[in-house]
Amino acid sequence: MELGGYADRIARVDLASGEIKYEGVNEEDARKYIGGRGLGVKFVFDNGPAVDPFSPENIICFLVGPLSGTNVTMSGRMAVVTKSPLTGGVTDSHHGGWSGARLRWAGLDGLIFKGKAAKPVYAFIEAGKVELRDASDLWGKGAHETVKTLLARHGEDVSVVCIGQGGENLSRFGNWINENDRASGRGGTGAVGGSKNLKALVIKAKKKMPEAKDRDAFRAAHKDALDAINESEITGPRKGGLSVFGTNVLMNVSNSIGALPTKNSQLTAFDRAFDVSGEHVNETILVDNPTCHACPVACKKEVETKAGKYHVHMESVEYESAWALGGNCLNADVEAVAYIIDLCNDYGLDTIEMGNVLSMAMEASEKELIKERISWGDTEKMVELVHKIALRQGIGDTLAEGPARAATAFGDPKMSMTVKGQAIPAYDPRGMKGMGLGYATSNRGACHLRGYSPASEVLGVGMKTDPLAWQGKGALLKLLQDLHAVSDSFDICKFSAFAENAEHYAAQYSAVVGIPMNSAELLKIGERIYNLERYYNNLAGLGEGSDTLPERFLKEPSTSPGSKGHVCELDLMLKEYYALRGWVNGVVPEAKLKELAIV
Amino acid sequence: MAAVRLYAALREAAGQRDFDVDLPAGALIGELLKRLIALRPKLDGKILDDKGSVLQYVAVFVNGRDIRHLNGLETPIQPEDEIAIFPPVAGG
Repeated sequence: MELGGYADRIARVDLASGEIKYEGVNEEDARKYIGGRGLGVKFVFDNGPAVDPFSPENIICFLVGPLSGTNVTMSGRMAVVTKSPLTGGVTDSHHGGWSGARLRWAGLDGLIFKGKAAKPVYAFIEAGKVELRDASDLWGKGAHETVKTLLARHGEDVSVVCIGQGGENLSRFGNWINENDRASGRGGTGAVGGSKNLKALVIKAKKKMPEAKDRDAFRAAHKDALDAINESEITGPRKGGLSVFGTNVLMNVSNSIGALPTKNSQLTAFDRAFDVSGEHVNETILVDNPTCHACPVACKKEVETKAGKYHVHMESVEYESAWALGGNCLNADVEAVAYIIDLCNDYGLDTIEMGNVLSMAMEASEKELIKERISWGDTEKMVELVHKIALRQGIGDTLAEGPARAATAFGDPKMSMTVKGQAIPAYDPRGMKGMGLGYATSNRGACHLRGYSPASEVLGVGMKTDPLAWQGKGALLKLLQDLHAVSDSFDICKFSAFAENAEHYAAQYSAVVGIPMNSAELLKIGERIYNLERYYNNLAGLGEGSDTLPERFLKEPSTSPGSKGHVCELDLMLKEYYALRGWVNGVVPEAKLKELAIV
Repeated sequence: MAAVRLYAALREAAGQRDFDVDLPAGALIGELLKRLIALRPKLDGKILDDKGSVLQYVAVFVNGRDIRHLNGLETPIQPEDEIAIFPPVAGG
């Protein structure tokens, strides 16, 4: 292949036969879909939309992109792409740390697993080769013990990505945990691993930075982008708000404007939000500020709790997790929040989905729809239920299916704060209208990371828009969704967008890969990726009417300052958005597919 | 008397989170910010720039509404209003 940045080597692993074949990266696909998320979606698309997510015929891809493992800031991410058992559509979920960079250094762009192994296995990856090894001794173990065992077995320069009991037991929100605490959290990708008896990936490689196609251009482009990160008031190391306080600094912001979903979204603000916020974490339990490959920001906030009844030392109390297990459940005990996050990471369960299924169960209990007594903010009960969900014991067996299916089983689907079967993260669409459109039109179900509108609606990055205005949010979300599809395909952290712009992205991509490209051309690739995902979902049964929100956001007005009296005007935003996308009620027409050279 | 709450690095600079700031009826948020900075000189340069405009990415909320979507520094405030001020922060 002529393009720079790629290892030009992908492993296709048949878990049933144990056969492993290697192939290059198709250059046309690389030009059209880049890598990471984009290339993964293409692989899933080519595998067909009718496949059952838990069947051996489903594939699960672990992919990096052409910027992975380079000096490009925040280029240590890895994409896990498959058909989701939670949504029934295509999903991709990314983790930070070092495994993404290390996979590139090990000489691979990715691995594609198909079939089901006869017994538990893990994939050992080194020097461009993949071996399947017996994981029988690891099955039934949590992520922490699995990582510890495999690190001891394989020595230094190793990253371990694994599932816990959540994925093994096919919880629909089982995830992949990288290096103990970094999660490819969403969409149930870990459960797909469990359905295939695939326990872990062990990636062994020393640092071996890939060379850019145009080294001089890369040096200049990289310097411009890094300067932007370092000089930013948001991302600047040890001075910017994200660097000093981590993602959880948003807790008080969202709460102040009436956009913090509280008590399973019955409220839009939590009177004790500060107690689980980033500021409070820094004051009370912070012990370190870890980072990822090639990232000076270091937004991770390592904590240790010793004083109370919940003792834990874990890497980070992130905003989404702190919200899901905090105010969403009326829980203001930050030490319990840290403990439960770590428990979820050990079991390999998505903290956002967990918080939502727990808050839904609390509402069901309050309404006496279930016999189990689950009080708001009862942390001991929350811990008990996490164990039961991971091991599918008692009511945990139903809750392990996720909030959408569990709420239906309990007799009131409206208690489920989900879109396309996936639960909402930490922004209330009544106080942040664009985020409501983002949830509804996200191809992987409710998600803040498909189009991160708070950057504009709250912070004013790029342009400041009013969070309570619905007008113009169609254009905003289309732009952000296309841009993030590109960064996910590089694969770099979206937090770079707090300081860098599409021109920074285009300059770095052009220099590494050797394809001259401007920001408009790059965004066109993002649009193609977004439309391919949507086309796949349409074919998989997610057609007209699937871009919606829980009724609570559409009909029950907010009661909190900042958003009081507001609901989310989704229909008006959808009309604007579909017109810009060229879609017909959420369905991609053939003319659009041809325009984007998808078919 | 308006209740002012500072967050993140602003709180650390000021040395406390909550302030009650005396102002005449019908005062503007711009006057409140200047009075606050006079009370806590370490906030100088962290909320307003040299020309007296709110710094980029600094968010000033009056009862949960960003003054960029009200009347900016000319937004009138009432004694019962709650003011929240954030330095540049982001997450997700």
